Amino acid sequence: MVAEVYAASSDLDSANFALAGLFSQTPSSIVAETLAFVTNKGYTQIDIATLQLLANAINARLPGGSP
Amino acid sequence: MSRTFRWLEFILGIILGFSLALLITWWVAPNTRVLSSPAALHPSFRDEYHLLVASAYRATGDVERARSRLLPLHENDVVKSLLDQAIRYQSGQDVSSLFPQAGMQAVQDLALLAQDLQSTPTPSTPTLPFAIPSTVILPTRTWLPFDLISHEPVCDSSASISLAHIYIGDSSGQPLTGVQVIVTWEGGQEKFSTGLKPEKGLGYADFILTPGVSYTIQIQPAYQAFTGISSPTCDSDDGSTYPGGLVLIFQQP
Repeated sequence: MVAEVYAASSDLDSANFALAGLFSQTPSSIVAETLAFVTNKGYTQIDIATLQLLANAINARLPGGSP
Repeated sequence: MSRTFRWLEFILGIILGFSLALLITWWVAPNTRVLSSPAALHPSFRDEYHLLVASAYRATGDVERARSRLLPLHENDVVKSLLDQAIRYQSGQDVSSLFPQAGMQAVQDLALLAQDLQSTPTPSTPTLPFAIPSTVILPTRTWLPFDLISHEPVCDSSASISLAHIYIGDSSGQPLTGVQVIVTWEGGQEKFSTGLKPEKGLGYADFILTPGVSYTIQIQPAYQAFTGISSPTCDSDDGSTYPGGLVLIFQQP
């Protein structure tokens, strides 16, 4: 759901804030874990693309991430 | 001496017992994570869950997915729960620890989801692309401009206050919930949404008119503002006058 909101708003700060409040893991690790889960479980391409979008944005902001 | 040893034995026993307990609970037999049902959520977390579902619904327009996400909460009347939450937020309750900046958006999201869950699910209004790679297009909700189609005075000498009753509907006259109304006057502004008084209709909202004050009403930001709206003067049976209310009907063209 956070990824869906991010896909529509492009508000990465809010997405990070919500993920940090929901999970004890870091936003990047929980998104990566969820992405792997939905890919393995055969979720739709839209779901996978939505999560991938958020994962890319979070990773790009990490130190050493792509701009 | 023996007394000192006894104390040392006691303290050592406490430390050993505590360490053993930590050893067992952390490494030997840690508590495995148990998947609990969303129905068991504390009310404040339930609010967070509602808001998350409503925000995602605004983003995707997928009412069936929103409905399926709300089902595990096992609520008797999920529409009422969403509207109650919107009313609490509108009344000043802190919105959310997850979305502290949401404010009015949260009220609108909850009201919109409540309305769409209640009505027959239909594909959402125009689809807009967003920055997802490839050709993925997800639907999102957009509002069309509104016309003020009726502006009628209400004269009720028994009413203690003058109210502006606002009704907002789509092009076919169906009430629209979650539409933001922005009322401005000299020195003030008030924002609220339709649907917060469901007993008066899903497209209903109201505000108190101060006699002699001219108001400007805007339905949804960025749309036309209707100016010069004020409390009418009504005549009573004894020849005196009193401030009346208004019924304002806005509709999409």
